[in-house]
Formats: sequence, structure tokens, C-alpha cells
Amino acid sequence: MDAFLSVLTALGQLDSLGMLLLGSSIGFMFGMLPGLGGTAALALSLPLVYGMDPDAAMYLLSGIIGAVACPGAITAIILNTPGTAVNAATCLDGYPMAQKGEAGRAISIAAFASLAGALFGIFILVILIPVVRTVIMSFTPPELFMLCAVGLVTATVAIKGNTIKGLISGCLGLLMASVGYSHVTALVRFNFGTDFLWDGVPLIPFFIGLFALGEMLWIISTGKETVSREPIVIKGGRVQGLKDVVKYRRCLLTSSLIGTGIGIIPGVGGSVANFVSYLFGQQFSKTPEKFGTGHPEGIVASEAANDAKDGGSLIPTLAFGLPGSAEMAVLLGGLVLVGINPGPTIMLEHLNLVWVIIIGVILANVFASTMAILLANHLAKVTRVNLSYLIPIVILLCFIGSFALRNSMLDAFTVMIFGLLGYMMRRGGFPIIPMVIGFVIGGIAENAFLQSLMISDGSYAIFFTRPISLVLFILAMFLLVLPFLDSRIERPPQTN
Amino acid sequence: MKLLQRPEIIFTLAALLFCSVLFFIALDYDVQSRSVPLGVALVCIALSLLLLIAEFYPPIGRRFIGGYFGTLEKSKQPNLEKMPKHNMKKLAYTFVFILGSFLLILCFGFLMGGPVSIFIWLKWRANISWFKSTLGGCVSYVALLFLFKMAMGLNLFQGIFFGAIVT
Repeated sequence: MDAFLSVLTALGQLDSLGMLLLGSSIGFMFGMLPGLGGTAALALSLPLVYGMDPDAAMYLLSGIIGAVACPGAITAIILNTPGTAVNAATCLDGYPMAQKGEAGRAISIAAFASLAGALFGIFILVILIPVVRTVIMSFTPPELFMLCAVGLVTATVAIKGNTIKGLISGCLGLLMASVGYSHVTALVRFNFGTDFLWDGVPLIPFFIGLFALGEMLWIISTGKETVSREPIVIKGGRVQGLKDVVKYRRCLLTSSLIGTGIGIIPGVGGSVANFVSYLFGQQFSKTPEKFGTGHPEGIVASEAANDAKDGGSLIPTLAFGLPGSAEMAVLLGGLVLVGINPGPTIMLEHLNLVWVIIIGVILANVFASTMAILLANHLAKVTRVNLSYLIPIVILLCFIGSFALRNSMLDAFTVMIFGLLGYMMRRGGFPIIPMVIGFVIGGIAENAFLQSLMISDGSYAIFFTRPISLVLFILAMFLLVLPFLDSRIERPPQTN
Repeated sequence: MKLLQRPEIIFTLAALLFCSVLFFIALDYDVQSRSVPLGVALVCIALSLLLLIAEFYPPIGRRFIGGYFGTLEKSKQPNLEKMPKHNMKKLAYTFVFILGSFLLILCFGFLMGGPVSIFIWLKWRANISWFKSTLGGCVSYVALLFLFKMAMGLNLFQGIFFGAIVT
């Protein structure tokens, strides 16, 4: 409670409030423009937080996280193109509503559902904080190592696709994390004789390259930089939107619960949450046949889940340093830049920062929803901005951002390598998130592994003789094997 | 030969090479320093080989398709979720542009190279008028000078032609 009150007091300071407003505005704009997602916004903002006061830095980053999902719904409703991936299911009912002349009502539903979902997710996080703190205190290095393994395996197998590709991606992330000086063994590894890799693979070029430059290459090669020139008319419907959200409160609650639950699973983003929630909402609706034809319940299901997932994904991120999503991985990168090592110590030693992030996300959601409701008609014009005008600016920002931290042109060069890597991975169907999670948790996992062996005098039995560690090991194996068993059971008999 | 041009195979081969290099480098380290990277590299090599086999023999590859959240109907997903067609010519031009921008910045610094690269993109890639392209370049120069250099106090790279040293 003391930490919470001190954070509230600090919020009154102009720089904290300014950073929150700046972060929310950046998140809002990036969320609204199709193709530029929250992860790119966070990655490009990382250089700004270097050397900043940790509270102000977290207000900036949590402002982006909180504000990015809601405006994506405006684009989804008006243009049938989601502003961010997490708004994809909103197109299914939002666009038909807009075509019926109810764009204002649809945006209002999305804004209120987003806000309610986000508050629900944060509420779950807040009530879990005392429980999680108790759990963390019972964790020793073997448990921490196994938890990292569970996190990486979950991120690898959660999304439909080739599991081997996910595992390779995770392994590459772990290997990249082992580059540079190791504090445990006091040795510089894999630096190929250069000082450049002494501190490891540079964090900011890694994130900016994979998420911002890689995204630009993807947009250009798929020709998505052009925009619709359809006339945009948004009229009224604000009060009706609120009434709709209240009317479908059962759907709102279940979708928020689904969003929070999916958010907790490492590596599973909001795009999964909003589709699962949409399908679930349709399944249990009294009028499932109306879904996809411009039904308000469809928007409630999609938007509540994609904002509720933030609260959920903050739980593993802040409790164990296991990023719940790509955005959370970048947030952990931001923590490193302000001098805080991600891991179980965040919630124990930096509880005030946890509250800063929580309050930042709440206020950013309030900001984004208010803006969407009050100014949708004017803001909708932003969606007409041709991305091909913005691409060179984003590319220049990628170079400036990667250069600024260490004043190194080699960092600016590295961003190109990671940009190409991110693009190649996406083209080849390799998920990026396991690599990012592997990179972020690699150091923690290796330290925990070596410390465990030191405790046990080199015996690997320590991982299997402690109850929590054993349960986590079994869970990791189970999660790894289950999708294959599932697919074998589901696969129809093949005929020659 | 066509199979070798597929992006997944190119990436898998690159991953295999990367892991193999790290594996052999790790052999020279002491036991503590090499245990984790050696183990991870070994797993990655095995998985890469398995994936290559799976790519060449699709029936094996299908066995590795899994995932807990994979039941979404394709028809339910809007255009974002479908694998789009890629224009490799556009991609190549763009990468040349990115590389060119980097070289411009390297030679002339952010304040000169940045606006010039934005002008080049706007004029020849976005196909807008000379006036608007020049205006875009000038606006970016002003933004770099006042926002990044003066307001934020960033030490922008000056360019090797103006005496800056590459670090």
C-alpha cells in the first residue's frame, strides 16, 4: 500500500505525467496506423528511456502498452484493416456495422469494452500480487531454471505452426543471450575477437531491428503501405455504445477472463486472445448467427479480450521476468536500460515500479478510450496517411534510436542485420517471439542453471528431487509433447 | 534446386551454420562456460537437421504441426492473418535504400544524410512532386536539428567526411 501511495504522489509530478501522456500519444498513433504495432512503438522508444529516471521511463513505456490496442479498433471498424494484430477479430463485426452507418456506435463499443477489459486484467494482476510475491520467495535457482524452461516451451508450442521452428527460434535466442561477458564464469564468449560484442548482443538494435525495421520490410514487400481512400463518416452512437457494452456484460466478463488467462501464457499475444474470445463469445451467445454481420457482441468479445491480456501478460513479466508477449519483452529491455535486472527480484525489490506500470497502463487505457470516443471523427483521418511517406522516417528513427544509446554506428549497422533476420524469420514461418523470450531469459536461465549445479556439487539430480522443480519439469515435458499427441488423435485416417 | 530457394530452408541452413560455429567455438571454453551454449547449440543443430529432413519429406514435416491455439477457421480471419504475396523486387530496392541511407549517414552524418535519404525515398519511391519531396527533406532536417540535437541533446553522428570516428 505504501508503494502504491508513493507512486500516486509521484504521478502528480510534471515529468511523470508528461511521460505518461507522451507514451499514450505515441501508442495511440502507432496503434491507429495499420502495420505499425505496439512492439515497434516500444522498440523505437527504448533509446529515449536510457538514463531516465526509472519511474518516468516506465510511465512512458506503460503508456504505450496501455494505449496501443484501443485505437487499432478504429482502423478495423472504418477500413476493415486492423490497426494492430490484436484488433483483427474486431473487423468481423466492426466493419459491417460501419457499412450500416453505425461506425460511431461500433467505435464507442470498442472503446468502452477495451477500457473495461483492461481494468479487469489489471484487477486480476493487483489481487495476484501478494500471492505471487509469496510464490517467488519459495523459488530457488533450480525452480527458476525450470520456470524459464516452461516459459520458453510454452511460447514455442502455444501458437499453431511447426513446433520445430519455434524451438529453433528459442534456441537461437538462448545462444544470442550467451554472447559476451558472463558474470558467473567471468569469461567473454563468442565475441569473435571484437570489443563490440563484449557486453553481448546489443539490446536496442536487437529489438528495433526485429520489430521496427523487420516490420517495415514486411509492409513494403507485401505492398501494405497503400491506404483506402473511402470517405469516412462517423456520427453519434456514443451513448448507445455504452448501453451495448452493459447489455452484453456477460460476454464482457468472459472475454476479459479469457484475455487475462491467455495473457498469462508466455509468448501468446493479444491476436490469439481476441480470436479465441470471439469464437468463445459466438459459441455461448444467444444469437450466434448474428456474429459476423455487424453484431455489437462480437466487438465486445474481441476488444475486451485484447485489452485484458495486458494485465495477464504483466503477471509472468513482473513476477518472474518471463515476458508474456513481445511487448512485455521490450518492456523488460526498458527495465535493463534503467538499471534493473529482469527476474523475480522486480516484484520483491522494486514494487513501486510495478505500481508505476499498473497505474500507467490504467491511465493510458482511460486516455485511449476517451480519445477514441470523443475524437474518433477527427482521428480517423490519420488512418488515411500513406505509410509509404512514413516508412523512410521510421527507418531513420531506427538508425537514430540504435545509434543514440552508445553513440555507435556499429549499432546502427546491427539494426539492419536484425531487421533482415526478423523479415527472413517471418517469411520462413519461424516465430519471432520464442527468440525474443530466449534472448531475454537466457542470462537468467544460465545463471540459475549454474548456481543450481554449484549448490548440488555438480549433480543434475537437483532439478528432479525438489518438488516444485520436478512439477515444472513434468509440466514443460507435458506442454512440449501434448500438441503432437493432439494432432495425431485429430488427424483423419489417410487414404492412398 | 527450387527447394533450396525457399525462405524456410535458407533460414534453417543459416541457423545450422550459426549453431555449428558456436558449437565448435564453445568446445574451447572451460566446462562451466561451455555447458549451456554447447547443450543449446547441440539441440539447435539436431532440430535444424530434423527440420531440413521434414522440409524435404513433407509427410514427416506434418507430424510437427501442433499448437494449442490453432483451431481458428481460416475463413474467419481477416486479411491480416493470410500469408500475403511478396514482391521481392520491392524488397530488394528497399534494402538497397536502407543500405544506401546507412552509407549516406555514415559519410555525411545524420543531419545531412538523413534528410537526403528521406528526399530520395519520397521522390523516387513514393512518387510525390519535387516540391513536396524537398519539403519533406527540409522538415526532417529541422526535426533532427531542433528535436533530436537541441531539445533531446542527442550527440548525432557527424559523418566520416566531417571528421567523425566510427565506433
